[in-house]
Amino acid sequence: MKDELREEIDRTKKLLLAKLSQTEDKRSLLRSLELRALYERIPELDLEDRAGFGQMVNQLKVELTALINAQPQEELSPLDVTAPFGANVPLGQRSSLLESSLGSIHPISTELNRICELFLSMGFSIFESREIDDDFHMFGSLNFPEGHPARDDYDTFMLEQTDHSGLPLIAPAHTSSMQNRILHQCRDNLSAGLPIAAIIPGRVFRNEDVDARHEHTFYQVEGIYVAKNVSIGNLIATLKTFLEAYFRKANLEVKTQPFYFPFTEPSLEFSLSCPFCEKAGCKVCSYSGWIELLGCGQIHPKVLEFAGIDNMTYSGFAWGMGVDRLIMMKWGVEDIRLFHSGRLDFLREFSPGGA
Amino acid sequence: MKVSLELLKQLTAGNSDFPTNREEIVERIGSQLGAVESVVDLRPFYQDALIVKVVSSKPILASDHLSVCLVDDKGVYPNVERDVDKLVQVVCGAPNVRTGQVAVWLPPGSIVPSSAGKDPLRIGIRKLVGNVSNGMLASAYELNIGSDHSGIVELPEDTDWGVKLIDYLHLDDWVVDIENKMFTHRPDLFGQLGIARELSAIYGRKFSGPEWYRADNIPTNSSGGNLSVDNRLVKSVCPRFMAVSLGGIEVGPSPLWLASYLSRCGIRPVNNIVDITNYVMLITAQPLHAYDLEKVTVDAKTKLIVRKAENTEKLKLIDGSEIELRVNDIVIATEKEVIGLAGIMGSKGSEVSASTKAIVLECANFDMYSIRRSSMEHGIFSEAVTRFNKGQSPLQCAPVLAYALDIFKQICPKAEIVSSVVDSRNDQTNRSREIPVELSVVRSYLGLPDLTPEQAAEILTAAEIGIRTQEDKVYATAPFWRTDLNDPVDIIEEIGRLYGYDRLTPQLPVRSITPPIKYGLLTIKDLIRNVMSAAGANELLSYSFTNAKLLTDCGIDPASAYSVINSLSPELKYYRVSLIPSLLFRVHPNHKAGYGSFALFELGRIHKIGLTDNDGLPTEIERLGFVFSSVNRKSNQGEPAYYQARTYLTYLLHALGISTENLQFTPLPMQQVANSMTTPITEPYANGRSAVVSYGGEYLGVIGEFNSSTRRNLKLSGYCAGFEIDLALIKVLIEDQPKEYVQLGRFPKVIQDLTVDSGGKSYSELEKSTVDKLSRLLPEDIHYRLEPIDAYRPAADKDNVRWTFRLTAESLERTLTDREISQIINKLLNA
Repeated sequence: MKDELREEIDRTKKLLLAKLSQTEDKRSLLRSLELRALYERIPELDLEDRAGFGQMVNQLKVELTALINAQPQEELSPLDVTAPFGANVPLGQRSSLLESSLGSIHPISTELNRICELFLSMGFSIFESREIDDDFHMFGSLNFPEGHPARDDYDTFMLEQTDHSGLPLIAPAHTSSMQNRILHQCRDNLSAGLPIAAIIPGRVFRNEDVDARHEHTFYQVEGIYVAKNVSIGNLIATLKTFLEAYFRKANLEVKTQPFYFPFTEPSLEFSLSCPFCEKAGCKVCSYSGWIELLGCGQIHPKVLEFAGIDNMTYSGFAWGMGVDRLIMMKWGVEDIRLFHSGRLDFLREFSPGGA
Repeated sequence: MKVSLELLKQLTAGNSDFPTNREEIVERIGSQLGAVESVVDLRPFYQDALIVKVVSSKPILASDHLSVCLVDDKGVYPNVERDVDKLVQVVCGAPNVRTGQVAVWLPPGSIVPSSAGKDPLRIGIRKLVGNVSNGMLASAYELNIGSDHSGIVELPEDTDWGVKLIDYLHLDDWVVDIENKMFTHRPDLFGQLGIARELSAIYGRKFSGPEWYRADNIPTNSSGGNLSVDNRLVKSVCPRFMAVSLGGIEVGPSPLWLASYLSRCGIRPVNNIVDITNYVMLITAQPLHAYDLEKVTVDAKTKLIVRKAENTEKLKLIDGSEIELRVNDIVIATEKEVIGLAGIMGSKGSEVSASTKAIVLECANFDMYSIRRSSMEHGIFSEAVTRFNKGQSPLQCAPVLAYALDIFKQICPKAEIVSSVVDSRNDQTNRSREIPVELSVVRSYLGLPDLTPEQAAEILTAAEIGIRTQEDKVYATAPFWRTDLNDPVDIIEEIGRLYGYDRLTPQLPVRSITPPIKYGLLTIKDLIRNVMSAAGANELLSYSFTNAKLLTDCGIDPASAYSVINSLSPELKYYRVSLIPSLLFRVHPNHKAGYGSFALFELGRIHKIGLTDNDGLPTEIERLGFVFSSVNRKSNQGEPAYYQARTYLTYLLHALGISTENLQFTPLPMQQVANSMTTPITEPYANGRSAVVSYGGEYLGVIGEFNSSTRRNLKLSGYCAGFEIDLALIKVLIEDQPKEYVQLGRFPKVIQDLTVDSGGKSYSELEKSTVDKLSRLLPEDIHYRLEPIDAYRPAADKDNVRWTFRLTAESLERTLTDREISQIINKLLNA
């Protein structure tokens, strides 16, 4: 190969190495004009020189890449982090907030907040649930005996770390895992003649394959009410009253189906006449006129007993309501996976300024 | 759980009592038994199928497999071309078609039952190799009664033809699929018999079940044979084990009616022996198992041993899989080898096959917890497991075995009992106990103030629950199949459900007006959402789960994170130790989607191994995470991104009513950490361009730009910074913020600017020394405020920043003069 070609490569190499110490974005050298010029030379060369030259240019690129990767991580120069603003920045060019119209609150937060406010106005206190819990709260305290097949219905995530009894910690699969704590904490209400009335909004987890309608992470609102002489009629009326307020509709119809949960007996599934079509049938209710909303029932006497409540004197009801589907129905959200997608086009649909 | 209304009707002795309105049955199942997932009306699938006699069958010479047949339907089907003898010509490709056979004909215009519901295939009149075929002769597969499509269905030759298949097989039926979860506690409802009984109770009709389903119906014993059972677990996990040997077995296909009931209820027909055991299970919920007698006989002796498995044992199952047994597994074995995983699946080696001549029939009861554990550990889920793990009653083994033997006699006329009926049981199985129920409790629980003991008794009696009433109490005795009834509340459920919950009157509870309380950080989080969104930021929600790659991309060691054993994917293996990685992960995709500048925030929880609360559970630390990113700006040109994050932090604190005067920013890297438990996650941040934020000495969070490896790994923009702060401290700060009112002064204020050289000191040091000096120099009656308004770094002196402060001073006692203040400033600057 001609010496002048070697020299040409050497020259470029020196130039790039010199630039290496001065450039901040060192990777940009790999896309530099100088390097590109060498590549563009290749097709112009005589056939006998082409292969050798090409190899050398490639060699140079490999060396340069290695050098860049071997460079100590390039950090920007230190700042005075105690200063309230940067130096040499005129007042009008200092950092400022974005337009208010761009901001948004996640629809799940908005809806959970609204549900909480409604129940608060009905006299229910609000507690938050946990994201890691133990076997006792997830199952034992809720009358799921160890090894009982009812546990299979809650495709539960388990942790490698264990609780104090040596059982795996659990990603709660329902907000009911808070029942025992709250019943126990509030049991003095009862002797003071007050009910235990609480709701627990929270994030729950199930080992479920994800698709447009199923998520492994979703939201529930648990409710509990304990006093003397609490009946199923009370349960149905409470939920109906809430739902009518939530949908801002009077006279919604409700119907129930028997169900089985170890922690309530009787257990029911609760459906609501479709508030979007007045039972005429629409896309939201899959043309059935009814929307299956939640599971509920009378708190099992054993659950009260586990919480130190006299189950001969007091009884109560509980429910667990899924929130994601409610929001999807209300807004017509097409895919449950959007909720955790972090996509601005989705989030900004909920901004005052629009997406 | 698929239920055939036709089977229910047959099991309801005195069939005329069975309700006729099927829509109503489905509705009442839904509202009083459990959610109905689907209802299939079988009539449209089968309405045209006819039983015919194949009068002649001749091979078509031009074809290697087709035959042309003339079939006789006794002229029943209208509108079809017939010959002079009124016979219909059909071309058939099945190898088993022959003259004289009784078969099933799908006439032209009818729908192939196996295609119904999906993509209905309507049969036409076709010409095959020149021969007209009017419809077709059907295989079991085409009739949806099995998987066999190697030949056409053959009915016994004495079967009357010209009859509709729908009448012959009772196919004018609805199959109702009820959600299984409903029955988790109801072993009896996994049999059609249990559902039939329940339906009668729902209709308030007295159910008289089949005569044979009684605990005292013991199969007629015979002697002889060489069968014995060594039940070593009779006192623990195998309370009952019954077995009997049957000879004269001829294995073949089941009669069509049997296969039809199995397949409509979702069980695949296999052969007559297996099908009988499955059919009996379908009716009673009691699983049975048949072994090939010869294969379980060792040295002319048939001895079944019930025992726990040994660790080294292996077992090849009927489905072909091979498992390594565990010590807790219950197994059935001979002296030589294991022949079944009890209650779950039999072995391949002892399976009934075409050559089987005699069988051992097992009807046993196993502990539900043991069955469930073994099933889960080996990942084997069978129809038997579904039933055994609900806790079947050992008392039903005898009547079910007796019933099974009857069916054997009916279907295998040559079958005969060739051993004694072995019954190994413990005496605990005779359980019958009264449950006392106070009616006042029932009334209060259900909100039925007028419920009388007679009404309660009537409802319960319909469900075959034994009842004795005494004053205002009922004593309920559960029938032997109801292992779920133990406590008074179980009886209340029974009364409520059978009465109908939708008939109860809704009534709001009456409560006191004591105000409810919002616990935890809900209020603060709402405030923060409102403030941040008003500042143009977007709230996002990320999963609580993250992955090793994202953590290490941010420089964080996953070892500090809680981890999920059965995560859906490695992407979701770890709990979060910081919200920042989740936020940074969303930055690049959103730029790519066309968003130039944005601010994202999340309110979420983090957990760190080693950090536990009073109950020993992982501490749930509530955080606000925030990230600002722009592709339109550069952090090394103009004001660095750090100050953008800081603008948001300051704005937020101010909006929450928290003064930022006591806020301290300590540059990273951190020198020392006072409390290692609350060590902030600083790994993703850039040293020199980020800081730990504390408030009055308490750690609040971290703020700053991100280091180059984080930036590169997550493809961050050149202008990106964020912060993560602790909400528990925010709550304290909001609640404990001292609010002091200073009375307004009467004298005018003096406002003057002063410019101080930092001389290499940080802003906070400079501010502190300036304040110190001012406090020394200003007389005590003067109150003042100092605020930074400008910063200038001369090009020639890179280490120095000239800070201009605005001093506002006033005296509560006198009028200050500009001169007095400028003199003090001069002194300060020259000091």
